[in-house]
Amino acid sequence: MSIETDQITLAAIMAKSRERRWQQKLELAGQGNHVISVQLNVPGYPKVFGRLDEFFSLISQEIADFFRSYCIFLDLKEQVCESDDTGSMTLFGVPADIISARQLKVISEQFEESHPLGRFIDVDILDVTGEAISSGKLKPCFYCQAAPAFICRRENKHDINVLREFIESKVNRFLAKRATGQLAHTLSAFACRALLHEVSLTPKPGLVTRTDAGAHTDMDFTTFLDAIGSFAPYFQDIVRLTDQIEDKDNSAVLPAIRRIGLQMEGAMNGVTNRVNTHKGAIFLMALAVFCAAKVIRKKGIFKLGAFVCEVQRISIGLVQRELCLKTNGKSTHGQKCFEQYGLEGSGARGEVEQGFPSVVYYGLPVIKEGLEKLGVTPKDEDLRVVLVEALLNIMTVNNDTNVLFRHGWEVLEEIKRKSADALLAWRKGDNALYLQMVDECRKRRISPGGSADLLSVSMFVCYCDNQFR
Amino acid sequence: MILKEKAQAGTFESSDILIMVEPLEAGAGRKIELKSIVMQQYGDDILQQLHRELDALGVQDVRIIANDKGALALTISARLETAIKRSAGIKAS
Repeated sequence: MSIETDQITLAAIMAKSRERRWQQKLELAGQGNHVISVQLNVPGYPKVFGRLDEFFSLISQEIADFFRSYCIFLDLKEQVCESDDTGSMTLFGVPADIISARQLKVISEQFEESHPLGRFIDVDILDVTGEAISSGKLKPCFYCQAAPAFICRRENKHDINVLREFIESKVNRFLAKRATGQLAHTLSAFACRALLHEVSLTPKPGLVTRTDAGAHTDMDFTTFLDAIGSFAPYFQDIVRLTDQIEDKDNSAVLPAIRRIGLQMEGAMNGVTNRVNTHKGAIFLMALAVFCAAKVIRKKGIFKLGAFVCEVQRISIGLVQRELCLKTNGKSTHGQKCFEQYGLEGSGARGEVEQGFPSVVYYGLPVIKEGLEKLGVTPKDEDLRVVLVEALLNIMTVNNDTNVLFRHGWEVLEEIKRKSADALLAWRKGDNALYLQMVDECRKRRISPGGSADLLSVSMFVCYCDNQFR
Repeated sequence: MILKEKAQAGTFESSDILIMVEPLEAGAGRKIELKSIVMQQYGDDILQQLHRELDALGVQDVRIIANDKGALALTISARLETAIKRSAGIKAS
């Protein structure tokens, strides 16, 4: 077949397919409906290429949701839906007695105008007699924006391959941005959910719970809820950071995460009246959220090994840089601990530089196994059994600098030993030792906040692992 | 070509044209009603094109109702030819 007859054959296929689709619209209208038809504006052949198919199904759903926001229910299941080389089409029928076709047109125009890629999308309205409702507006060419579209088309102003590449790049960018946005929502929700579950776990040794403030006098359950509520938008910023930072630019990553972390501290101080409920948790969780986002974006799924690598990669040299060398500012608790106790007192920084060993080997396995047994909506009481076990398991190994800094080495070792004993008993269903520990920690004002933070991170990792497998 | 019945081709889609054809008695000549969203810019061109192609198809006595939504020349040509052939009862080979 010569190129010319090839072209003619294609044109014939297109012409035929158009007629057939138009018949489908008329048929739907004939059943007493106004017809909403969704198609993409794609020059050349084939009409579906790259990720356009994915884009189109997304758009069909978005349009159904858009009309729904005006209380017009479009059923995606009862639609006529087609997609092949001659293009994609979705048809919705709206019973003609509930709304006028003109009103539908107004809504469809609002959709096209508000959507970032609205010029690639044709939402046409046919009234119940099969007559197309026209806006009477001439749309500008989506490529040059200078002339009306029909002039560029008729005068062949732009090369068709250029137009197709233009569409493809716009669509790809749109899909990528959307995916990041969704991931930001999901991971931010996971992080907040984990923090909420941690503080709600009752009873806990020395920590703030829903019934008492443990060893603390300056904060309680409400303070924690206030703080966690203020974090949600910032976790989203951290996920979006994965878009903004070059893969190789290792040294810039941690400071960038930290800048958002500082904003979170600011937000926390604002709602807690400068009480530090979550400083350590912010550091650990922010890092975990960033690394999880990175892995999920790169691999499409969450992989624990890759997550650990990522954590280690961006925190390499952290202990050396921030604990071994003097800084010009005031020392934090973690820094003072390190001065006094060395590597054993490297705290949150040591934990991340090693890739969250307490999470990966102590917190996560217990939670993962427990949640698998309990299913998606565990009961409060059942969840408590799992989370206490995970917390105790973490406490047997974690050199919690919250304890170390205030009470010294011997008390930390004592807590680790007692956690191990309480854990053994707890696994047998005996909670006496645990409750004894809860009591004792409150009286002696010992609060293992670092272990609590690692418990939240373990939960977060578990949520990611379950969602993105 | 001898037209036998009413026929149509094309659609109301944008970038397409709907052409309806109706045979007229011999000697009646061509009655063409053209509506186009680009009437101002290309109306004369389209009209000339329709006449040219009707000449080529050998159709003298016909009523044509064309509703154009910005179709390109080759689309117009294909839709017209199809409508005429449908009217003449010629099936695609």
